[in-house]
Amino acid sequence: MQHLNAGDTAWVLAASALVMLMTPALGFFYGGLVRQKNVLSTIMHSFFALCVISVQWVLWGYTLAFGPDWHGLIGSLAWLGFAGVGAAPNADYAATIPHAAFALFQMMFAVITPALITGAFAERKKFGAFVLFTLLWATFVYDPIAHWVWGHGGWLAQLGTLDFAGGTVVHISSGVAALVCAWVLGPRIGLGKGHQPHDRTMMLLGASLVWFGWFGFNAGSALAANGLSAIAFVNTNVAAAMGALVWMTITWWREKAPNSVGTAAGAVAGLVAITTAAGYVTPAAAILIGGIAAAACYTAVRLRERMRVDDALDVFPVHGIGGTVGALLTGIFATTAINAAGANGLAYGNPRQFLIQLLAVAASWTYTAVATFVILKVVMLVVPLRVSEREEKLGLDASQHAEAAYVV
Amino acid sequence: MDITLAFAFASFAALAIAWAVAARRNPIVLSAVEPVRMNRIDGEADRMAG
Repeated sequence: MQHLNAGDTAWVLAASALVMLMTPALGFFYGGLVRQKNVLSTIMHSFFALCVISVQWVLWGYTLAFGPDWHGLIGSLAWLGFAGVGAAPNADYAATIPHAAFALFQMMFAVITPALITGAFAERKKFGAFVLFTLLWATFVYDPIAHWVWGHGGWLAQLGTLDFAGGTVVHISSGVAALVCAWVLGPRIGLGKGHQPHDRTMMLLGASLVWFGWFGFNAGSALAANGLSAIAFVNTNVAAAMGALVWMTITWWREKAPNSVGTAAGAVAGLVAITTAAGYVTPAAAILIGGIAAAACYTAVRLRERMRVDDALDVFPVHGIGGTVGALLTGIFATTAINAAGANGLAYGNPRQFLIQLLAVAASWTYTAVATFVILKVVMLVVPLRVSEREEKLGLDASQHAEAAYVV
Repeated sequence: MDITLAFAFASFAALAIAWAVAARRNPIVLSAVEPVRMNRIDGEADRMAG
């Protein structure tokens, strides 16, 4: 018989609430970055993802991701509708909290992952297409990858892949999917002709709340109120701070001004990169990871700008590249001195861990890219992906939601 | 599958069908938006498009 721990349970429930807040906060982060005529639609994408994936997760998402294993690839349907997911713990995942608390915590990860992708197709995707895409993507991309990496018996988990809080499961998958979406949808009309963020204060507030929620994301992933959760908390904060400092410094140096958008993007890059590593590395390593990730993501943004792929809010450079950098650096800096249940990385004499991380990255990239492309093609059979030219010029708030964000 | 879960699936499926039907209809309902505001959006959009 497993025994519940009140402190662990309280922390994981609170962490779930923190992670829940990240999704509407992401909406405001993205919302501030788009033009005024698209702000509501952008926020609505995140809010809708929160609603629809919350239901999908209970009905079939959780059992596909974490249900009893089927050949290391996917969970069975044994826990359909949260059947058997109740107050008693499941020792395979967390021995001291209710199974329902673990499933709830994981639900919030499933919610934010498709919401992250929305930044790539902002200002031009038809809402109906977004709805169908989100449901299919969560079911056929997020759920399987979550099972591979975190599910009991998942093939990457069995290999020994380290992903403390979702750098691979959440950020690489959403980042790569974002790149595919942006490529398939094509660029916005008039790209490069004065597309400016309409409200940088909203963007900064959103980024700040995302950072706040990330404490639940990473420290909550210890699934207990203990020393490891405290380390993960410290690592999360310091990596975000270092990421912001590095990106701000680069923009100050290269563009003659320490701009707010870059500073916020740097913080997010640091947060993304430390997500894989938060419970496996020292705070000193977290500083390095945050800084390296910010420099890598900044470079990726500059390279992306030279391409005709209009990833509107740079989801791929920040989440795809940031997640990849974080996953690989975990294979270098991980140490069992921080987490005995983890592994040593390359810097601690275990090059095999780096190779395992590399394999996990390659598998996630490949599967996500192919599956996302197929899903987009399936959606196109049902409803057009893009709004018409006139609807795009009007803005998505008016053309998709029949509303305006501000009455002035 | 118990009856409650069956109804939960059915209600979500009904929503999904409603979304699929709604998504294929013309989504523009400009009358719900303040006309002056829409004119400004239109003007801005036209300028942006050059």
